Amino acid sequence: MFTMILRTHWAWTRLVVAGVSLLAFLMPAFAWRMAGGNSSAFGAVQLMDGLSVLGPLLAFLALTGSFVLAVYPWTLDAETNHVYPLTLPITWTRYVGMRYVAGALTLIVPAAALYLGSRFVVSLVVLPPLLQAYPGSLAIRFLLAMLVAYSASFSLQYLAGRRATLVALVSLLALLLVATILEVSGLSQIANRLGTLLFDPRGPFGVFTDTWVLIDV
Amino acid sequence: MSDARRRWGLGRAVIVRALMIGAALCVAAPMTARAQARTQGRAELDARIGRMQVSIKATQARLNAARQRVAVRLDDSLVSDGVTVLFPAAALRERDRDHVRDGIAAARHALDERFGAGASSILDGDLWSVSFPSSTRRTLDIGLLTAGRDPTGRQGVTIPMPIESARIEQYVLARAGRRLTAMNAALGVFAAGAVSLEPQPRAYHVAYRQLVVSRSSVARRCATGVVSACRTILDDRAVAQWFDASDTLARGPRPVPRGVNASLVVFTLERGGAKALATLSAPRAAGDSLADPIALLADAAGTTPDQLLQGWNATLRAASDQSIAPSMPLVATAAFWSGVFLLVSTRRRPR
Repeated sequence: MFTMILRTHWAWTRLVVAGVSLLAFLMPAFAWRMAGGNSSAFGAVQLMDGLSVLGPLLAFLALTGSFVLAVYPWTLDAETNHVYPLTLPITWTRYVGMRYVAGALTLIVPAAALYLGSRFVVSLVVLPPLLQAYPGSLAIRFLLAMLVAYSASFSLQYLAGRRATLVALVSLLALLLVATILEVSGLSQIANRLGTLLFDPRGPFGVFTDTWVLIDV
Repeated sequence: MSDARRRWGLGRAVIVRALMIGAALCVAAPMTARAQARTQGRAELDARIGRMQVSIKATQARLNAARQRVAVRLDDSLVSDGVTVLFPAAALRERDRDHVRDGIAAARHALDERFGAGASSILDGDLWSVSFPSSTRRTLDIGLLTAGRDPTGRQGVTIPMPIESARIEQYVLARAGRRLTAMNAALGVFAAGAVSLEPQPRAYHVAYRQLVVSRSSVARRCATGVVSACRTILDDRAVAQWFDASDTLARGPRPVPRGVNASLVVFTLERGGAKALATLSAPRAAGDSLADPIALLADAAGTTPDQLLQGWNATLRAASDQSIAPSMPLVATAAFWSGVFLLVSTRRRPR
């Protein structure tokens, strides 16, 4: 049963996976070019500073890519009012679990692409002495970030159904509005605490605020 | 409509939705950035320090102007664990005062726990004040912590009101470092203003990185473990030897920031404990043979300068190794929250 769901999932999402993987593969090279490439008057600080753009880029890709990977299969199911999963001889909980695992497994592909892209860039970079490349650590962080973003999007989609995007946008705007009101009314510490709860290392999105570096000491 | 075209239509709609959410997230990014800055500490901000300093100076100028406008009346005080705090009676509620006391007690406990019993005596006799810079619209939402009795004309630290004990603890620990360097002239020059006794998990990693990325090849040799190079790069009297002839990149006034020197002071305290703290804070006669700060630190730690530098260097490198790899708690946290999200997603069954 799981193999069948995995196969269907792969057939539906392989183009998206390929697109996200291609972007993940290219991003280290893009960041390296932004950092100035192998410029002759290049210092270690400039290289590390230039590559620091890689973290936000990858975080954005992890968020949007995972959202598409979580939402698209649900949308296809919803086209037929979920008749297919509801007629299967398994419980809904089990079906959702298998669908989730199938989607989560596909996340390995973009993470592997990022690893290869990072290795490729590292092979081009003239690393100053004592600096080291961490393509594996970066790929693992990307995988974890994608997993968390995928899980959050998956949960939102399966709970809110067709209104998921609206709920996500309204929640984000409401969060921004509340944060702005708190800031203006001098209660910025409440907004800060809220941010800390979400992005603290123990919070749900803590992986996004962890250190995302390709090259470091 | 063919199946492929229908799927493409649906896929396009999903991608548009993802991009809409992505755009909204970009708008929300400042909140993330603030959280990121808190979590990652100073490591990722190294390269931006220059720009930040300009911004800080501008903010300080505004703050000083605001301070001049306020009529400061520090008409009340509290004494907690040997620390005196002055403040305007009307502005500090009983709950704030309790938080000030809690913060001081927590700082003392943290010092004793980290450096050994008696280390917190560095705080004895400390005096600082809480005041409120006025602005046209908002008052009493920002407090200003300042060393000494006079809150005007000095550098202070702003904190949001109402006071949180954690902020006070942070301030007291940072002050403990400044008190230590103020008590010892040689140490004051060696690590001016950069020593903080607040626990900073990434401080050693940052110090090591600053050695590695330095424009000076002497500093980079220090990073590889050459003790004589470390001695040169940390010593203000060896300015002429800070750069080699082979150093082609633009040379600045200092090859490494004072924070690197401060990491050696903190390492000395961690190694020598309360005894080292007492030795370093003891008054010394002018012209003392221990005016060499590294010899002074080695003496406080009960070791030789070379051994001290070797140990410090090994600690920096070990801290650097630990900082990069994704930690087990990070993996466990991501797995836990993913599990929670999955559990939630099974709660609603379509009809």
